Amino acid sequence: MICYDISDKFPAPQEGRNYFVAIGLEGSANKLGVGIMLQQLPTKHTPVPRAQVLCNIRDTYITPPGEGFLPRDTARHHRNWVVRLIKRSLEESVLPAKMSGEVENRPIRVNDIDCICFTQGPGMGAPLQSVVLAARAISLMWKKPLVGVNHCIGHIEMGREITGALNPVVLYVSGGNTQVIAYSHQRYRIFGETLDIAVGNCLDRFARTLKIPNYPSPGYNIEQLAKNGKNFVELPYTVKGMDLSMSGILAYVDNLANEIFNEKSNSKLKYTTTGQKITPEDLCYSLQETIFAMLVEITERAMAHVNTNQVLIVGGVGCNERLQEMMKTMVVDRQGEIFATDESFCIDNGIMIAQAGLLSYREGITTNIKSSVCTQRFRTDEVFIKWRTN
Amino acid sequence: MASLPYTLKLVIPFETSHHADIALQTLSPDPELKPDQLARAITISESSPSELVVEFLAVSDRVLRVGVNSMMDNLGLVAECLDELDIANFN
Repeated sequence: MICYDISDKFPAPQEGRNYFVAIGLEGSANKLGVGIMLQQLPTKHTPVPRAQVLCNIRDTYITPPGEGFLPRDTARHHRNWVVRLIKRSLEESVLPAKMSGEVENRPIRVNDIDCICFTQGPGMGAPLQSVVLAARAISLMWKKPLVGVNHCIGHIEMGREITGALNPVVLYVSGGNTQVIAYSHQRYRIFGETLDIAVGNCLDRFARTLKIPNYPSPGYNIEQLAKNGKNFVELPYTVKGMDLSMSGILAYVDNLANEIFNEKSNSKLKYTTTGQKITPEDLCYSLQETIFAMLVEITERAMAHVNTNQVLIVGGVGCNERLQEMMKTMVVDRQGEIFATDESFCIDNGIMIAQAGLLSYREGITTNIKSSVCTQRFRTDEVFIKWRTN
Repeated sequence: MASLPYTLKLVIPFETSHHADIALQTLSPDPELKPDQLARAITISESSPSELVVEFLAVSDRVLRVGVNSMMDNLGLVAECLDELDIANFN
């Protein structure tokens, strides 16, 4: 159970200012991200001012081909890098002169920051815990309040801010999460989700089976291999109502891959119906086509449920261009619009935590240091979205 | 409640009592994952306000070692924050 301090007063910007600044720390999986975000108050001329990204930096823990990232090692990576990343984010952030009212742009100062935002969950326990330690320490040293952020809400709010999508169905697809979400009555409600492993986890683990590199990311490398796939191999298709199941597909395709790599095996599975030998590229292509088709199917159904024609794709798998293309085909058929962001905002990052945290902070919601314990399980619909109406 | 016969007391000196207090508040909120096997108390030393005292009670020396190791890792991070991210270090 996540506890917040909720004030009935809305905090004002610092004296003489019409903007807020937040630093966001993200470390729920193998990416460590720090971002600094500036949000302006609305004015007569710009009733909905765009948030300004002052800095968005990331360091990814990369494991050798065939290996996944383990919680302990990932936590150690985050502990080793978090202080350096925070330092660099402050050094790289520039406060525009038109904001500070000074003659020239100047580097940001610690005192310019209004709140410290951190990922409170969901994610891997040990990495989350090592990042929250840094968040608490700087909160106490700089005398700024903490704001705990739900990782999924971070993705959604960042996607909305960057693309300007007003009320989309959100497909959140990453290494740890697969959800179809739509907003209703101050909650992001989950319309469908995976029943076992996440889409990204399925792709990452298949990349391990093929021993392809984890740099820049396993999913990206699968996407590149899939472009050279020529034969479609039929895989199980497992949509269950609004939900998906991915583990059976992974087991099946892993099994196929092992047959192909096993020189001695003479299984029929190694060949297509036309007698061609199946390649790893064919498997990547078929796996992508199958699971993305499942995602498009449940997204389309969610659009019909909530009667919207906008789709926003967020999360690490969201930068897969084939997924974006397949989704676009569906959305265009429905005379709708599709929104997606590039890898700097799709893949886990600190700036999305700053963005969502600042939205909470401006509504008077902060996290007491004693309640700042991270949690591995933290559902998207647990968060009260005070900053949205209707 | 199982008996916790294996104990260890760490005394960590900080530069100031303010730093010791930040370390206390930073490390205290996270509970031990197996409270029936490892109990942990973090306090400020009564004799010196700039010393942090961490006491462990564990069911076995193995559990004790794991708990103390993890605390040392965390202390390392807090100390690095205190050294590197003090407001005085910027601008």
